[in-house]
Amino acid sequence: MPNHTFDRITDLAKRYSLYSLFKQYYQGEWELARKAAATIQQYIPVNDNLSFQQDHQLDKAALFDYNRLFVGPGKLLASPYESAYRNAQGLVMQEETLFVRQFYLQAGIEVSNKNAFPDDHLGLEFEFICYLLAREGERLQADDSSTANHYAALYQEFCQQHILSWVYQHCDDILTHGRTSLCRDTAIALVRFLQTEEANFLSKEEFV
Amino acid sequence: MKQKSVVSRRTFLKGAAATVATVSFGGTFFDFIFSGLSPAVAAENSTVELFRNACPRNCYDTCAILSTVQDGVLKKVVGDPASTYTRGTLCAKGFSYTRSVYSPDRIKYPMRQIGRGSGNWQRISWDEAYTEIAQNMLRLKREYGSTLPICLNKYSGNFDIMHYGIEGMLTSIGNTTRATGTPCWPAGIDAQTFDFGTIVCNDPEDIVNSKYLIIWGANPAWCSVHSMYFVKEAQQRGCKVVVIDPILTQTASKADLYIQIKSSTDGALALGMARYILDHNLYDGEWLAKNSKGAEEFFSYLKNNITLEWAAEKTGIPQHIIEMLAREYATTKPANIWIGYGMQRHTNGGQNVRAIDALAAITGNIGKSGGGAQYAQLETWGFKYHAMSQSKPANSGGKEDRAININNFGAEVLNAQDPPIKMLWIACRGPMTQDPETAVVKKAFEGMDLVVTADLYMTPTVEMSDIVLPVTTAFETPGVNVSYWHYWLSLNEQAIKPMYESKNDVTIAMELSAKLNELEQGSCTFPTSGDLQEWVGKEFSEGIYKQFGIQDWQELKKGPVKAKSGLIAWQDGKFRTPSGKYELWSAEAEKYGHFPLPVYVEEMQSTDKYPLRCITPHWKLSIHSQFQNLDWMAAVNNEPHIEIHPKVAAKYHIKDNDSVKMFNDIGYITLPAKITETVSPDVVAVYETWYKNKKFNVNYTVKAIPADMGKKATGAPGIAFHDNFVAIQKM
Repeated sequence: MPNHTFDRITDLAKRYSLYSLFKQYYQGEWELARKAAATIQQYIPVNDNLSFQQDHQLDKAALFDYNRLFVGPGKLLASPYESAYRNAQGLVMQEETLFVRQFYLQAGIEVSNKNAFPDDHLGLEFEFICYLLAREGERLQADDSSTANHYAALYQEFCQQHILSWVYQHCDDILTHGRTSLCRDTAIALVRFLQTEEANFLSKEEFV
Repeated sequence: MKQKSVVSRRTFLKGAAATVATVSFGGTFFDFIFSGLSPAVAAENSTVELFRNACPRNCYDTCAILSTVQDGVLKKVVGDPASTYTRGTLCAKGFSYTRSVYSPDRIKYPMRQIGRGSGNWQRISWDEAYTEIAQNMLRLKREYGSTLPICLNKYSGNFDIMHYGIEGMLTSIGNTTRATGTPCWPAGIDAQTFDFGTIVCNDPEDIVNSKYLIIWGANPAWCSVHSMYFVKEAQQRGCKVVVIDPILTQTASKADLYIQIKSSTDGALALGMARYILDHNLYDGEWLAKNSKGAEEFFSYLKNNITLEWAAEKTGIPQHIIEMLAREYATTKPANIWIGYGMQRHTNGGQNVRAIDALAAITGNIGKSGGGAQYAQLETWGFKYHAMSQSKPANSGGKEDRAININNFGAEVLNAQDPPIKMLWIACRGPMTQDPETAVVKKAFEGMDLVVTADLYMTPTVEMSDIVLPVTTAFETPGVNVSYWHYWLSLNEQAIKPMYESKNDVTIAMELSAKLNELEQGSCTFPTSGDLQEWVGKEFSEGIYKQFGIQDWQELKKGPVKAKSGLIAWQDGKFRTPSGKYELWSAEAEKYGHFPLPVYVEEMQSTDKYPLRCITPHWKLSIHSQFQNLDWMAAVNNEPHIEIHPKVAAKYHIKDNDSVKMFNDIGYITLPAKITETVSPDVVAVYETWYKNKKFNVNYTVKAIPADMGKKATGAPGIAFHDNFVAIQKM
């Protein structure tokens, strides 16, 4: 395996593991927030303008906060659905959700309980990304760089068309309404991580 | 959507790429496992399907709906053209159903609140919810020797017949406490029960045959929009339409004559008209002789007690208008009166309805196409109530269910003894916004061991619950619906999957039963499984089949059907009163503590301290607490108002949009003024509805004053919602 492929796999695996953490966090394993936030600390510059507390209590307050933001039963203070940000009235299952469904289908993927759970939940979007990155890694390990590149391109397209179009706003909402450092710092971590991804896209474009 | 970002983006991007390399990494490679996603099954062609649905709301119209579902997503709802009542259209509320199903605010999962009212919620599984509920039920039964400490408050949020399975669920655990009665229309029901024997109305489509129509205290242009087609059609065929109301409603604006009456004096107008009809020999003596009991006594009462001058004074309507109205009504045949629910929400509401019924009787308009005294009907409700009809488990304690008055729910819960009430199950109801005396209701909630609410959205009632269970919309579950007004029967098909983890209330009953029996064998008789569609089929009785001319309920998949007979109320002249006649003199009324005749009972008077009567009619964009929370409705209007007559406003120096505090001794609300001559000077009007995220609740000032009637037919008197006296003050 050439060195640059090895580097690419290593880098991919790091990003995959982070996405995987965020996926689990958004799919309800809120206890992973601390791990996500801790892992991501290395993405946080020392003089970050966002205050990162590093004092993360895994307590009831964090759980209640998480539910107020993402789960309910009240109006979600930081809705984890893309349509909440992209549909004019924030409704689910409108064309914004169905665009995400179409994108998944391009990669041969769909929501397991389709039409019961909106396709554009951030936990599902991150799972989709994990799938794409895993496929990319697997093809790289099999020396199939052309298919690997296809998955990398799909990932970049999905990230740019979907994730980056709303998740920053979503994190804004967390920072506005979140009460605990755990939820807030996870949002900061997510922002910073996505920013590195975005920067990578830009640097790649510059390189091309 | 957002103006300002707290996340500074560009400044960080500069050095970001370099940062990546510093992340240490030691995890496994790509151990990807699907959780919420899966490989797509072979790509299907896009499918578009049509489903038949029925609007289950507490509304006259109970519309037949055609739903378009594309690839499993509800895209569009329209009125079903197969119903000659719905006629292919819906109201604004009905058209908004796609917004309701896909509202971002739906309750998605069962959740437990740690500290009632704290807003601290924990997501739990259905199994955890059932376990906690079942354990509490069994504990209460052990502690108190019966399940009577468990109280159900369920009413009109969903009138699908299978939803009576909620009552069935409570029956299946033993004797329980039931919030009994109905808040909004019982005084009128009892009035018609005393007069006719029960409530039956003409098919509203028959309105087209009327030559004279008085819409008395109803606002169909807002609350029964499909009836307006028939009103307009009648008008085009030469019918004169008169609207009597303290508010110049949208319906009134379409009328040939609008009469603004002092609120709660409707009986005085009716009796004044009756006196005129008597004096001018315009009554139908032949009809009365054949069909009625007590005409002589009634006429004697009119002669001795009622004058036109008095009626004019009482009602604020000039005498010559009363005379004209009486003459026209008595001499134009057939003449029809639509008696609304608004005018019976008074301490004399039932008597007022009886007085209006009497007009229809003495003019011989009853039992005739184009005539009648329309209030409502329950003739098409003869289902089996299979889901509701459960047996009680043996030895579960207590002698029988305990009824408490739904219309004074808070106080009755607090006062219940031996045993006290310790657990509430709330379904299809929002007592924290819809009941009078909100503070008392809240206190009752606070005293519970456990409050379980099944609902679609976070409401003030859910806020005061310990466990919330997400329920399905009508589109996510099968059912069957009829109206209390028209004579159509509509199947409600499941059009889409239940969203999130929502469940039908009957499924909840089945699964809770399984849990109860797991914890204590034999503690619940409710079936633990069953196909909901089959259960819908089991609701149908032979009587329903015969009435609607169908052999099998599945025929309804082809479209709604209308009753084949009984479309003109009392056409056969067989009244269901004790005498079998129309009873102007009702011994039954007397038995329930009322005057046997439809006499005038004095309306409640304002006081110096609280000089204004606040009436709280239905709002055009909602039905009680439903619909106004949806985006389309909020886009039209998201601000409650207090409507004040210019003369009243001038007295208080209030201008349009001024903030006004409306208050009495139990509470207050503050809201902007709308100065309008559409309300009469003796009232202020605030439309009752629930706005999400607003502190507005008109029931903060409404006392649980009972209407005069309702006990006989519904178990409890109604609420005199419109006998709410308040003061106002510019803020």
